[in-house]
Amino acid sequence: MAVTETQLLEKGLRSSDWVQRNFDELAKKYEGKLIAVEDEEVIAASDTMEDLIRQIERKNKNPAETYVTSFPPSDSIWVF
Amino acid sequence: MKIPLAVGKLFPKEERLFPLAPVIIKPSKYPFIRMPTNALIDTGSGSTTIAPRDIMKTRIPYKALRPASPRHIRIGGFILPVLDLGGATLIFRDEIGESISIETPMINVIGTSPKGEGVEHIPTIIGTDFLEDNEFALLFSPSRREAYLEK
Repeated sequence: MAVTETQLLEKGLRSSDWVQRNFDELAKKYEGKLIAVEDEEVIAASDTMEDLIRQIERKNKNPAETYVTSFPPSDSIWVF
Repeated sequence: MKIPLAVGKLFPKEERLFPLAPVIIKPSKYPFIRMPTNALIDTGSGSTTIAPRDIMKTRIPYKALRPASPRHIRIGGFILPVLDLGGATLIFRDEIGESISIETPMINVIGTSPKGEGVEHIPTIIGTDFLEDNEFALLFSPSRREAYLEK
């Protein structure tokens, strides 16, 4: 059954909450990398988005609807 | 109307906090695509832009998008091409957990460049254009870990 938009928002919220609760530990492990998160678990990690997408697809997940975040290298201050 | 935001970190070894909006972006031209992300609310940006990592995961080819005007964006130390995705619907969750859909007539996408190593760390940004056009005020108190959009 297709996931509704409300469910998709909830799923993204759960993933971002989990990343924030575990931010320091995840940042230490994945500094400089992109990660994909689902059900409070890192399901893929990579230096590049192309590779991350391939890893997500290999798990039969839809990359577009997967929560992706990154941990930039800590040797710079980022200003947007 | 009130849209609660997350208050969270973005950078390793950096304790400072930022206002982040959990949102689903649905491009009008690609209605079958739903893109959940955590967008940075950035009052230093006049333009709402979708990050390279978010557009790449949709598999929308850059070649299918027209250059925006202006054609470049200066962001995070990069000068990158900016492309026009057309209209989009941004879906948020309000304070009682109901989803709120907001149409935006035009949204930009940040492209990549051969010298763009590191662009994947740029987040999707909701800029002042979105706040102004939709009459939202931003309240952000990092010390109280409180943030929301209100109108």
